[in-house]
Amino acid sequence: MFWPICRPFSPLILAAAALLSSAPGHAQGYDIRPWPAGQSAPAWVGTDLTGQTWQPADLRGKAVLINFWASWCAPCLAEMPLLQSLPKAYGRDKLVVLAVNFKESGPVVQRYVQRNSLTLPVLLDPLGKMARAWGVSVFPTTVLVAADGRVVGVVRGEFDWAGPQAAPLLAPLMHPLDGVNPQGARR
Amino acid sequence: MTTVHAHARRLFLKSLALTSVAALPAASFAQAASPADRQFAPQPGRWRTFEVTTRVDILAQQGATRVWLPVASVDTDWQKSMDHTYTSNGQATLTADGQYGARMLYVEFAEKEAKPYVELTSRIQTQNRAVDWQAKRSPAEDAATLAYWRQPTDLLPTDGIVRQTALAATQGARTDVDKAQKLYDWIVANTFREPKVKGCGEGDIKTMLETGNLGGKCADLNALFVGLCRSVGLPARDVYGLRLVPSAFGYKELGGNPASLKGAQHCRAEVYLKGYGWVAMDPADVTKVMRQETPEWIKSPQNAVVKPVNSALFGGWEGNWMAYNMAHDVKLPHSKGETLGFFMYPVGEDASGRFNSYAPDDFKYQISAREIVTPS
Repeated sequence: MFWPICRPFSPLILAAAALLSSAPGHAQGYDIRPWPAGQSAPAWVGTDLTGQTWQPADLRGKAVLINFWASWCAPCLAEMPLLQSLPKAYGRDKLVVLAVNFKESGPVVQRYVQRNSLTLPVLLDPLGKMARAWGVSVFPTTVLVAADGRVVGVVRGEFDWAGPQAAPLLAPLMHPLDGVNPQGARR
Repeated sequence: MTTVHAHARRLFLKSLALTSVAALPAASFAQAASPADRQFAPQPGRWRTFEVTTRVDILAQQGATRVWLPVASVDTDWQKSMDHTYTSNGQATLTADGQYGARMLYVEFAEKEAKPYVELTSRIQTQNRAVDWQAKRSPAEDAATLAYWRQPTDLLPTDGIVRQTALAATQGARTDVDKAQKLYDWIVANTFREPKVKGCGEGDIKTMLETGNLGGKCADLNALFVGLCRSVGLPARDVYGLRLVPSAFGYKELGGNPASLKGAQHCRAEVYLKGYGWVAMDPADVTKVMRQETPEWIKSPQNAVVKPVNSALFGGWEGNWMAYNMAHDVKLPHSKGETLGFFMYPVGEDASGRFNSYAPDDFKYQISAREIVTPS
């Protein structure tokens, strides 16, 4: 796993390092990649199934998880209920989860959403443009965006969003200005 | 009702040399009382005739609707595609893609059609395949055809991690048969490992290898086998088709329920081996037996349940399956949707986009088969 040598106090890097050091890499079934330093996030705008438009400027001040999924992807479906539960657990004013469907038609996605009683915002990406812009080729992939708008990393593969590995990953997103020092105490 | 007889072969499917196989005993049912008694040894020599019916009923239209149904396009020494009949309240035409000769029934339904439907019935004959590895011969295949089947496709790149993996797996191989065997064994051996990343790619073999996720529905293992073969110079191709009836050898994972085949699509593979011609391969079905034939996931291909299947599917397969085509990157005529990586499911689209081919009950479609037994 490659780690950037700058930004030693990046909360995500420290959180991800803690996660990787606590479990054998390949047995987890996911990997976490820090967002490359200096790489800007792609511009995006999306509309969910209710017709609401979502864009980064409207989400400033909240941590955002952008989850890329498809109905043919079993690991995507396995983690979806847990992803959906996160805003309620952390506070809807602190964390937003957007589920971006990859290349499926509206009726197909709508049917899946209804069958599985999904209530989180589901955005359509019918041509896969948004996924390509974010460099997503594995599903599920979840982009981690901190409350100050910085993209801090990407989780590839099915992740236990309710497990012990989740909080160290999510908490720094909601408090990006706090950070932690290497000894683990808040500044 | 319209009757259409089978068309002549296209360039890349014509002139397949007839396999000269010695007369071999017919396969018999395995009344296996224990794993040690399991047998799986399909032998050619007996043609079976099947009638396969695909029925589509469009449940809810948004605007004009179009449907494409794959039609058996393969005529070889192991399958004869005989005739096709269809009924529909739309405008139906038998046509083909422009490159691979993958035939299809294309139907257009008017926007106001109350209950759009189409029913396609095909008659085909199949027989088992097996290779007599002791009887080398050199069936003719032109160089351009062999070069064609070494090319990469959108979902089957042959460079990078694919080639690296294949080179590592085939180290020490001296002949084409050795190479194919090592790649076949690699597929079987590597699918039981836990994936590095539990996620799915779009069906491309590069992502399969990068994530190490070679299990479950995310991985098309025979496509991976074909890509690995091509990357080290072996002409290879996927053969997309449909299971029809149960296996005569009692393996529940290697057959279909003829009353309901809507989820019985299965892709097999062929490799061209010098001295033997186009040879049947199906390492994916070996892994299926390992994962699902018994309640316990079997990890060793030497297990008594797996061993006969592992042996026989290298060079053979059972004729309880119908081939549709060998097409990749299929551009459906009149479609507004994307190119298909492969075409072995019904496809439909209307103004709202493509239907979900993997959800037959929503689409909706059903496929059934019956074997026509001629009294001797």
